[in-house]
Amino acid sequence: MSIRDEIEARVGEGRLVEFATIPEMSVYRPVYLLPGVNAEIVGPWGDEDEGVQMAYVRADLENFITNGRITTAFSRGPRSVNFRRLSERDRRRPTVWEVRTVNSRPQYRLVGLFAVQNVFIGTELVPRDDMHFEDEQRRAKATWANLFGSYEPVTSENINEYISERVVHLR
Amino acid sequence: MSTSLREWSTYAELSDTPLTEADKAYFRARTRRQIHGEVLDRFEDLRELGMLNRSALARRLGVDRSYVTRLLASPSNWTIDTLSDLLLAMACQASLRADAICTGQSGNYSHPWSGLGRDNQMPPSGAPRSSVSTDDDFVEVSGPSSPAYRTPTKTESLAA
Repeated sequence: MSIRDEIEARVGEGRLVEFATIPEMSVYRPVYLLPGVNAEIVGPWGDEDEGVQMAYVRADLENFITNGRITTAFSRGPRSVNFRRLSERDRRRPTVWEVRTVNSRPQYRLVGLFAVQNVFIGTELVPRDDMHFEDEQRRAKATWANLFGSYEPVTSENINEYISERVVHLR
Repeated sequence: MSTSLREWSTYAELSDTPLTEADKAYFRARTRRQIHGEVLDRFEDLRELGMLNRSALARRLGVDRSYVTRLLASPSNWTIDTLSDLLLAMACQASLRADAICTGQSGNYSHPWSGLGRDNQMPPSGAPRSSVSTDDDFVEVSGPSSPAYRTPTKTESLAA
């Protein structure tokens, strides 16, 4: 089986859900989420504050999915980029990313990995203030292993191995 | 209280139903992303032509290069004045167009890995996928246009 087959199987089993834009838009960069993460973003939400926070998360994800311009960074230097690699300290490890929603209060981070170029697997949604970088990476990699076994996510020093185009990589 | 975004088609209606804070937040974020994308497109066009880089943009704006990096990284703190200044520094101006929210067909590209397992999918949590769509981009930037989609090419790095 290929990683593509594995994703297809996990969706069939209900262990992954493709995040759906509203309205239905062109999909250039599919995002698959754990069902609990998807439900958290899609709602229904318990109160309006949560709805506002998730509206910002949704808009950021839709921008990525529909081929919007994305800013990225491998390090923590450039602030406020859309995608930032978490595992900067040991580049041999599988590369975990955070999708940064900075307009919501609190800010949110969607943690995940790229299965292949332009295909993102989101494993956890965390308020920024609750982020513990090492813990998030450990959990993301454990979730990945649980979903896909020995299949490796994208790990590269070339940003275009993760996102093929319309990406502004900041150093 | 349980809440979610409303059906897309209702956004196209001039009803008396008050907009929720979530509705407003969602469209504010879309607008912000749209404007940010337009500015980045213009900057990348000029950078690829060798006409501008972050340092030159900083000099034109009279600010630090690191501040320009932050501005380009995210539109989170942009005001309309910020937008105007950035565009002027790139020899551009904004032209505003307000389009009605459209419920017609748009967006028919689908990545080959989109829709995997959908036929065998268990019922997902959350709202069903809407069948309607929109084309609501309303900020145009004068200058070279950027195609909606280009084939994979190269790293677009702001190493300048």
